[in-house]
Formats: sequence, C-alpha cells, structure tokens
Amino acid sequence: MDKRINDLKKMYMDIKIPDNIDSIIDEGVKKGEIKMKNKFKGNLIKGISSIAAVFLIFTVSINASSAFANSISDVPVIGKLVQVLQFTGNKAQGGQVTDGVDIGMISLRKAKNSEEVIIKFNKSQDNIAPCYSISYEKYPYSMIFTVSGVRKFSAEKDFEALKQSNFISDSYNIITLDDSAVRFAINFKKPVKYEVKEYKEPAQIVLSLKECEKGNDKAAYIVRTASYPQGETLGILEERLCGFENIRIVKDDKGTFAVEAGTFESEEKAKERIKEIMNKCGSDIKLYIEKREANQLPKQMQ
Amino acid sequence: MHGDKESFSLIIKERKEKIYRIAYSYVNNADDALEIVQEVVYKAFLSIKTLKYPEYFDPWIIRITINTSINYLKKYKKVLYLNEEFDNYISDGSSAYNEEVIDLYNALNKLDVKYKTVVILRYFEDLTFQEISKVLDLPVNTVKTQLYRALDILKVELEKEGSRIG
Repeated sequence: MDKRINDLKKMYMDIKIPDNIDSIIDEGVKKGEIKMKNKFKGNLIKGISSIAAVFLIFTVSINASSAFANSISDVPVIGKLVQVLQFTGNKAQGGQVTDGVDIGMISLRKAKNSEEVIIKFNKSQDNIAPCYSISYEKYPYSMIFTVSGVRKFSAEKDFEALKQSNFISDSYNIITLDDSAVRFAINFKKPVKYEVKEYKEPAQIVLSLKECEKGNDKAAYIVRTASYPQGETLGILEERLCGFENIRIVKDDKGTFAVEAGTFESEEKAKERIKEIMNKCGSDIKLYIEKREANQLPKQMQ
Repeated sequence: MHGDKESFSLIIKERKEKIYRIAYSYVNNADDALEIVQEVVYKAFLSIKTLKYPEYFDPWIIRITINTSINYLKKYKKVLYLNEEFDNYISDGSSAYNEEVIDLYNALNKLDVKYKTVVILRYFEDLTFQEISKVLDLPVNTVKTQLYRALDILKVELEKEGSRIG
C-alpha cells in the first residue's frame, strides 16, 4: 500500500505545470486589483450619496411638512417623559408637590389631524411638573386644569394664541380662593379625543387633541347659579357648595361666570339636587335649572 | 506581506506548483485547474489583509485552494475520472505507471472530497497532522480518523479491483 501511495505521489509530483500559469496568476492579481479599486470607489460613492440623501430628505421634509418643521424645532425642548396620564372617568392627576412655580408658557402645535397644547412650567423644583389635576367636562366640552403650588401665571397672555386652534373655542382663567393654585379651562368646539403626557427637564404637560366622532350626548338639565363677573363672589359660592359632587365654575355666553352644581338627565333629578342643597346650605343661594346641549355654553342670567 | 502586488505575485509564484497540483487533483484537468488557480490568486489578493501572521501564509493559501476547488466541483458538478487527458498524460509522461497505481488513482478519485483532501495533504504535500489540522481547521484527531478511514476505503477499493482483474 505504502509503495503504491509513493508511486501515486510520484504521479502527483509529475503533474505537468502549464507554461502559461504565470500569466494566469498575473491576471488573477490584476482582477483582484481592479475589484479592490472598485470596491473603494463604490464605498466612497455609497458614502457620499447616503450623506447627500440624508440632507435631501431633511431639506425636502422640512419644507414640505410644517408638522415636521415644528417637530424639529421642538426637539430640544421636549424633555423626558414622566408619564402618560391615565384618566379614570374623566379625571386624572399628576405632578409633584412643590411651590412657587410659574406657569410660564402655553403654546399650540398644529399637525394635520391633531394638535398639541404644551403647558410649560418655570421655576419648578427639579424641573418636574407641579401637582395638577385635569378633568374633561361636557356641557360645554372643555378641560379644566387645576395646578397647585403655583404663584404666577405668566402664560395667561398665551390664551390668545390658542384661538388659532381648530379644536379650541376658548380658554380662560377661573378664579380660585386658594392663592397657591391656578385654575384654567380650555373649551372645545366639539368633542375631542385627548391624551395628556407629562414631561420633566423641562417640566411640561402636553395635551394632544384629536378629532372624535360625534358623541351622542343628549341635552341635559344643569343646576346653576345666576351669572357673576369674575371675582371673589364666585369663589365664595363655589366654596359654600363644595360639599356636593361636580361643582364647577363655567363661563357663560356673555363672558360672565356661573357656578354649576351638577348635570342631570332629567329635570326631576336636578330638582332633587336643588332640594338637597337648600337643606344643607340654606335657601339664600338662588339656583336655577338650565337645559343645555352638550356643546352649549350657559346663558347669561342676571 | 501586506504590501504591493509585485511581492504578492512573487510569493504566489513561489507556490504555484503546489496550488496547481492541489487544484488539479480535484478536477483532473488542466483548464479547470488553471481557472481555479486564477480564482485562488484573486481571492487571496482581496483578503490578504485579513491574514494576521505571515507565517500562516502556506496553510492559508492551501485552505483557499481546497475550498475553491471543492466549490468549483460543486458548481460544475464535474468529477472526472480517467479521461482522454489523463490518457495523454500517461502516454506523454513516462510510462512507468503500472496498472496498480492507476487503480489507486481511480480509487482516490472516487473518494469523498474530505477523505481525498487529507490524503492529498498528508501523502502528496507531506504535511504533518498538525499542519493539516491547521489548514482544515479541524482537530488533529479528526484529521487522523479521516485519513485512516480514507486508507481503509482505498484498500477495499483496491481489493475489489484486484479480485476483478485477478
């Protein structure tokens, strides 16, 4: 066997090497060289074109879409997400106990089918949003923000800007007797889908609004007081009624305010509520029943 | 080592017989073997930068040759046994090859490529088991097992041939 393998090896070693093998090798090297150059060139072209593409996409989209431009302009401002508020029923709370905060700015950001209202807090400790509670109301459709630990409301001037919105019909400050809290309402033209996100560093609340299919809210009977101008009278009235559920202050169609003490399906139930209140708080508070559609403002009552 | 193409082709040319013979033992035909040689040179040139240690050039180039040859066979499904060219080769070479060697040659060509590879490396290229294990990236013991298995198969083949002739 070994001998035979040795013979075979001899045969192997006798394999004739073709004369042209050197030129074949040179050709192989050349091919490799060309490939290598192309590879480098290809990579260079790929690299340059991808950079160009990024710039192109950026320029095109920033010009084509105002939403994109807006989102870019706000990118450095958006802080860290703290939470997406969970609404139970129509209420939600968030934030941390603090004091001396200024509600610094309220701004509106429009996108194609949605809008965002950004409420920015200044001077808050650790750049965290102060304690706030939010409730979504009907009759009229609105959202009421109550922010505690706030001493200043610089953003009041920004209410004007919210008028640009397709969803918001009005926004206004609501009196509160608590001098460390600020309350304001945002009224909507129609029912909305809403989502609230809280951010820190910087402290902000972002309210996202989207179109909502028409709710089938029926007209309701509302227990309310007469209208008063913005002022302490309202606050005192509210305070006196505060033992009852669903007490709120609502702006009427002429810009004065009424305290409301509940929304009921039927006139009877509304009457019951009035009786309850009379029994408890005395009969000097004049209460009325007003029938309203879900998107209707209270009428002024002198 | 990582240098210019001149020194690269010089190193390749020093080993051209080895590369060509290994390629030839898989395809048994000069044209295909030359094509494989060119492919090996091309591949090696492109990936020479990945070779970290110059002293591993030999096992490295052998491995490229073996892989290229096996791929070539797979690609063209050409397994050539004794053919015209081989007859020429015998006739114009010395006629010293007796029938027994040709039987062995045939048997070798019938072997599974992995057995054939170890036989070529061990007996024709005179590599040690350690070197083969480096080339094939297999444990030494596996290489040994494969070689002995290859020899067993060859013996069986030869006995068959022998009995037929005898």
